[in-house]
Amino acid sequence: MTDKFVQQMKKGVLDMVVLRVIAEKDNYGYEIIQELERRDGEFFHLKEGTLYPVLYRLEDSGCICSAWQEGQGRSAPKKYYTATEQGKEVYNQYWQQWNEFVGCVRTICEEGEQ
Amino acid sequence: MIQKDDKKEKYIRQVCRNLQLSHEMKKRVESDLRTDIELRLESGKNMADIIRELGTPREAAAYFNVEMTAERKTKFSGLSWFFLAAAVVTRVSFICYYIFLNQVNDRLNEGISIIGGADGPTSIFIAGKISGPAVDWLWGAAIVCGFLAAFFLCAGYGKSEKNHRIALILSVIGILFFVAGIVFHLPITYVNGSAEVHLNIKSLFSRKNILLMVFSLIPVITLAIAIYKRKKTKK
Repeated sequence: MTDKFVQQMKKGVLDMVVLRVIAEKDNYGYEIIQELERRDGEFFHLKEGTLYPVLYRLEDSGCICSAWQEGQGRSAPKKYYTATEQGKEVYNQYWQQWNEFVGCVRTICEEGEQ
Repeated sequence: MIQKDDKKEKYIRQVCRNLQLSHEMKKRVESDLRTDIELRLESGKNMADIIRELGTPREAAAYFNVEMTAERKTKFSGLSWFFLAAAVVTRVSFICYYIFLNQVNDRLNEGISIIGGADGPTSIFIAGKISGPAVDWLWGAAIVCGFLAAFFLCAGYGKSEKNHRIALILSVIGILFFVAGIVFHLPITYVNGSAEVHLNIKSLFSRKNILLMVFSLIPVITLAIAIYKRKKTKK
């Protein structure tokens, strides 16, 4: 039951969190997974199968775009993701809504405790 | 290095083969997966470590398939198109046959057989005229339903539960047509004005009817497969 709640919460904010990481710096998929793990540890321990659909959804909606980077030396070309201007605006909206949401939830729950 | 590349490419190929996604989506996953594996290799990991992290090709693909349910597309295999074509051919050939039979009946007007002595008819068989084409139509419909059910059963991925349900319904309808065909085959015999119904075994098992009956059993087979697949999907 708790797992399901955590999963649903994670799913809800994943677009925003991934968009934030890409908005800070152009990233490869694997780097995004590592970066989320580095910042948070356990909670956002993502698998590729979870991250890719988020990336494709963001790319299809114009929030991010992908490009190929030529490999240095003998390394193969790699696909990386960049946030668009629209993506950065969308992130700001998400962040604002998230704060409002957290505020509302806190008000409801803390009022019940008093 | 070459061996490492071979292992990497083999792994990616195997994952993609097990992906139940559209061609375009497979390409997207493939490019990201290749980049991710490349980065892992550059960080000093070997393919065995990577497989441990990502899972076997089958496991990795299964994870993508579950997570990307919205992107999954119903795939109609070559076999499913064959069954659809068979359904169309069956329907068309029955229509042609019916038109041909009508023309022959009109020309010869020999649908009613009168059997009896010189003092008057004792029995009039009208079964050939009425039940013949009706039975053919019913069994033809059963075969078409069977082929259509097979078409949906062979369609993979995507909304497979929905496809199995459609196949199940079509199979049941096909079986009903098949049973109705047998019931309609009971020849009606008028003996001295009163109607009698009895099973004419000899005419039921004519060469043409046996062939039609065998093909009409297709819905029975598709029903069994549809039930099995539905049970498997629910598990």
